[in-house]
Amino acid sequence: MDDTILLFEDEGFRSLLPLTYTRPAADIRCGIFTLRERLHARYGSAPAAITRGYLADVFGVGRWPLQLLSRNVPLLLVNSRLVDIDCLAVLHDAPLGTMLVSDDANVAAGGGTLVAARITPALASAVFGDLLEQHGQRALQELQRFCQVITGRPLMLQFPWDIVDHNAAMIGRDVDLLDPMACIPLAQHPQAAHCHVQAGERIWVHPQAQFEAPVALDARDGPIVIGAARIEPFSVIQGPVAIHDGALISGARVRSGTTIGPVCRIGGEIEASVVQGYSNKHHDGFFGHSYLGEWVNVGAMTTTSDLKNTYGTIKVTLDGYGQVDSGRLKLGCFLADHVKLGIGVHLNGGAVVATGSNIFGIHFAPKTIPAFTWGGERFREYRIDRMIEVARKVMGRRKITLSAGQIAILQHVFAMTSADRGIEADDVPTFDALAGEVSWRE
Amino acid sequence: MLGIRRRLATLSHLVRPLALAFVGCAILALGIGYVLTHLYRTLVLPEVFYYLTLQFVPQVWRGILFLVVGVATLSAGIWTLSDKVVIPLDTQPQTNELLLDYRRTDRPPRLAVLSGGPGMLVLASLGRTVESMTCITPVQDPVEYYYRASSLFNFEKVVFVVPTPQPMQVTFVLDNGVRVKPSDRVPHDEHYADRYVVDVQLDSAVPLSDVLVTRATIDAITNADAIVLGPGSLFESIIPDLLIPAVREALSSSKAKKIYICSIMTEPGLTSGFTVADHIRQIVRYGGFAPDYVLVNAQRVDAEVQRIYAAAHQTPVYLAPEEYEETVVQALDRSTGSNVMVEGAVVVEADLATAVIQLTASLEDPGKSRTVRVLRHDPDKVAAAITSIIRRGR
Repeated sequence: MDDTILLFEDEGFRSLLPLTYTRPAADIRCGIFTLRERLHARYGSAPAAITRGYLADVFGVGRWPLQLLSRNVPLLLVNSRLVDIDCLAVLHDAPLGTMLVSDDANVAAGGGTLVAARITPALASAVFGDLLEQHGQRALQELQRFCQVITGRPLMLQFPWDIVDHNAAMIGRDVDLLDPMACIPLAQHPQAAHCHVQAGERIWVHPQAQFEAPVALDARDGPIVIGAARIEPFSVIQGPVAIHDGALISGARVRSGTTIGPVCRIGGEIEASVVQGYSNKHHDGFFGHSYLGEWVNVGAMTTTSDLKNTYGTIKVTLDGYGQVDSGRLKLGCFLADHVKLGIGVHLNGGAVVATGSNIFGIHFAPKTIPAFTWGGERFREYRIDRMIEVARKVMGRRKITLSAGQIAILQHVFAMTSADRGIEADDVPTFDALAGEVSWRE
Repeated sequence: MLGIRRRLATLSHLVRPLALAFVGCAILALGIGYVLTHLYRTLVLPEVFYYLTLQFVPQVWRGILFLVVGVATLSAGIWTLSDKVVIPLDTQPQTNELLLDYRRTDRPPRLAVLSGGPGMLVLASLGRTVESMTCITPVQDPVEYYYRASSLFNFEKVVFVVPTPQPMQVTFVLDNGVRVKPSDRVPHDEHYADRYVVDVQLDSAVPLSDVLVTRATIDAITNADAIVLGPGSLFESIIPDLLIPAVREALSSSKAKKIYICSIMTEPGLTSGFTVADHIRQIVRYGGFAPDYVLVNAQRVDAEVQRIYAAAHQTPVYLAPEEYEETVVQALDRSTGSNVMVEGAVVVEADLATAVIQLTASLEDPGKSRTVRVLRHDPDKVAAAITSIIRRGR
């Protein structure tokens, strides 16, 4: 396909905050892939993205991406919150100038949601300014004047719990997009004998995956996909599950509906959760129906609840929305990028810890913690220079450099969320003073 | 308490001068006190001073009363001052200046531009100083061309929008009755060298009044602080969009300043023999409005360049002598004092052009190329002139 694939963000990124403070929705993992990776796997070329201005240098193609409309080929605009891309097939069968609109009534604007459109560069120019400002509704209204409209209800991310809801199904669908060169049936793997297997025909593994006996793989309820990861003894993996390259499963019970992103260390028990990547939950403790962003570290015995004793629905506090009833009986926590949790922290179902917060020395964490919060018994603002210093060290351990662009994003989010904290910035204890308190065993 | 602390913290740079001022006030008060005491003891004062100086109150309570009022007044003064102080910029520590109170400057202007490719490239440098710049491309042009050209530069805050999603064909009727299209490259055809356009038409399958115009186009025109027409070919880059009724209506009803940048040279086959007034008349005729300002190049074209252009059947576009008759003095214009009014538009003559050496090559014979000295609108000069006009009366 020669189309220019262009991801755009609409107003809906707000209902996914704080997870979308530091990344567009298209870069949130749901299933095996993120939307960006999924489109790349399906169409063979990396999509471009129009993002919020402060994310543009890292996740987009610059603040003013005029080159996106410079080719005389159709543009396939795709909403960053779309999850299942099978719905895009109708746009390829329809004439150029066709758009796909979700008739989901549960949107703030009430006018449906622009899911995707396949249009000429000329028509794209008419909504380009709207897309640069995340005015999806305005773009939708304009395109409706000129396009043929197809309505549907494709899977999209509207609230953070949708990531957890759709994950299991998306793992099953993403299997079709796996690179056959990178994933072979388990039976062809030289260490297949190290595994106790159920429904082995639904298990795909990377040739360089390492299995240390005994490992139990049960794909009866869904496929298991394991990249070039290391699975240590006594690990139990129940599909549908996806484990990416560089991950380490340390005798963990990885239950169905879980995705472990690249270079993660997982121990204890994890169920129906998504770990974006480069995060550690290396020790005992349970995480269920949860989302962990990138560069998250969870201390030993830290655990989340995902079911209320009353069996009531779980409420979540979202930026700009207040407390929202998720309607879910089972829901864990949402940890945004760069969150650090010390040892023995207990989280309520529906807990939200926003970007860059560092929580320790507390038995029960508050249900909602603003970005860049430091502390436990007493919460303070986490000074941005110190947070960046820690992030640099953490990323350096994985041989990744914290780029100037990423620093700028963190600084921008810090400034943007300062009103959320409303706590004093001074008197932040030094690292030396806290060296004894902060202990994450790895 | 945190809010009070934060507000008072803005005075941290003023502690020393405030303390000094306080000591000065105290010494001054003592001095006044001594003088008043002396006067009170030596002069015979009317009865009313007994009450004015609160002598019916015991001296201790009088002191306490003055202390309370004094502290309250001082606190009120400091509190009020803390609302006015801005911490000096760390980037300029060498200047011990302190900014007391400030006023935010006006928001940067929003521009809408109707022009062709080269004209928009000339104006693109304005993107750095505006809030947004929406370039409305000629209705017959593919927008990819503009994005491709602009992506070669680091444009900011500039977007290009089409007036209609489907390009429309333009037809020119020349003074000899011949109908031509922009694709006929009329200015490069010797046959039409002395001709000029008498009518412009849009080829549309539906009545022009039913043509759907993009909202971005209408919004850009409606919300602009200034609408710039040109620089560029009058008939190829500006007039075609004015033929669309919705665009014309938006332009007419827009409160924005409308600035037309007149061509430096006539175009053979299109505007041969046109003066500034002729150019303006075409805009009035097709657009239904007279521009508020017309920028005309006042720079004298040297003889050598004139000869080159004459060989290509082009002449400089100047104001004709009779067009100088009507002058207008604008109260807000501090730069020039008076302007010429032509066809209802204020003509601003300014140095807008720069002579450049241009290499021309032939696709048919790539080895055959030549360099010529040509006049082009200078981006910096044009931007300065437009900025100056926008500032007038803002």
